[in-house]
Amino acid sequence: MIVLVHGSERAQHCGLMDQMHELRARVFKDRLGWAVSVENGRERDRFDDNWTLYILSVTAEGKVVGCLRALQTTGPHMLSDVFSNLLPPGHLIRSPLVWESTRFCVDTEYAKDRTTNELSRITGELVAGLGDAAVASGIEHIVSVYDLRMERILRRIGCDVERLAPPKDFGGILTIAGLFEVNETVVARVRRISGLPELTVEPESPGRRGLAA
Amino acid sequence: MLKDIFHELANDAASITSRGEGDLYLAKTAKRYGLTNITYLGINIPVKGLENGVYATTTYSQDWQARYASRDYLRIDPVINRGLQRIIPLDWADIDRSTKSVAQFFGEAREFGVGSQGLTIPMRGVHGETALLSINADYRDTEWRKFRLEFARDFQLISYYFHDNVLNREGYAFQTRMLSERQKEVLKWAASGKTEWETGSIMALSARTVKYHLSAAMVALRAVNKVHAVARAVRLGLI
Repeated sequence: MIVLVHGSERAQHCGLMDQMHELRARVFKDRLGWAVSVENGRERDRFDDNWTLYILSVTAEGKVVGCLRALQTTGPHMLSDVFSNLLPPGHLIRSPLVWESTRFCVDTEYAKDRTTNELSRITGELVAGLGDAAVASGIEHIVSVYDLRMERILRRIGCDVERLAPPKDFGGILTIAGLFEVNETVVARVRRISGLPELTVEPESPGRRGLAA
Repeated sequence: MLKDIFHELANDAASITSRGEGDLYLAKTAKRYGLTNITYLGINIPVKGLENGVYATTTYSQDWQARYASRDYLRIDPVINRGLQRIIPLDWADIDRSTKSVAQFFGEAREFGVGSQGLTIPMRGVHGETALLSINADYRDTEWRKFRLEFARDFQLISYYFHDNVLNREGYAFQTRMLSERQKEVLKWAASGKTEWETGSIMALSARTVKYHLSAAMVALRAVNKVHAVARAVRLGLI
């Protein structure tokens, strides 16, 4: 199940949010060895403020097994403020029609004990959740920072990510600034390829689901 | 037809030179999209001379504005309190109206002619400022959903361009309209009549990436479509 949490409403979802920051610490620090800051077993950065949208993949038992964070590119965001050297020279991402997705991760420990499709299913659920929210908001493109492995996973589930520039070495990891288009067709394709059910009801305003959760 | 309307409107947004013209622009926008009201609220606008950095303009009736002020509704207005800090637009239907004061607030708003459906688009800028663009209209639920889905993009652009214009107008150079080399190149090929696919073949990019660069160039130039972006880039001597 997908749960949307607005950064400004994190207090109402503190159990899920704690799990998310713990998952991020396990994935980005422990497993991938990124230079991220972890406190009390939780990874956080300066972009984890009110102006965020968290997309969480949550099991029926309430366990967070995947997450990503979306930011508007009209304000501070990672690609322009931290990773600008991943972009072509002079390239600035500043558009009301573009969101940035970062801190995308899946609990591979959880996924590996299950069917081979579980990783794809969780990834697809996150991308489709982000896509639904973006389309409802009038957003046309998502830009992102990820490594080669994540790029392969995204392509496998029908998310046609494109590179904005050749990959660069970032602390020993080949890192890519990429983008993909979001619209109803793209989201439907991701659902189909990653084995998610079609939406049977008309998508409600995504804010409502976040509130109800 | 609405596409043409948007074109005309957005042209206006970049060329507003006074508060009065800005008000007129919002009124025209409301009328042409069939909206009851439209409101822009800029907060922490980094400009001297604005009280508390607030720039507000609205098409609400004088009566409703007076009522709003006399009852100090700013303190309970859930659109402002809830809508400020989030990246997904807030549909007013999603607002919890179970508390008496909020229910009363919406009831009165209806009596004063505020539309039955509303949407608030929040935006954060790079200087610590934020902006809200609120629209409301009388639509049935299904019609409203369609309207929202179709025009969310337009109102994102209208909000961004109007906000940019406020900052420029109030004496703040918001952003230099710099184009990246890629953006200039895709605009040049578009100007010579190449399709996105053809431009992609020439530049060894996919058509989708070309589309992205064109969209980014369009926003950087405060234009509303590809043709408009090309025309403006040529006029500004950028390509």
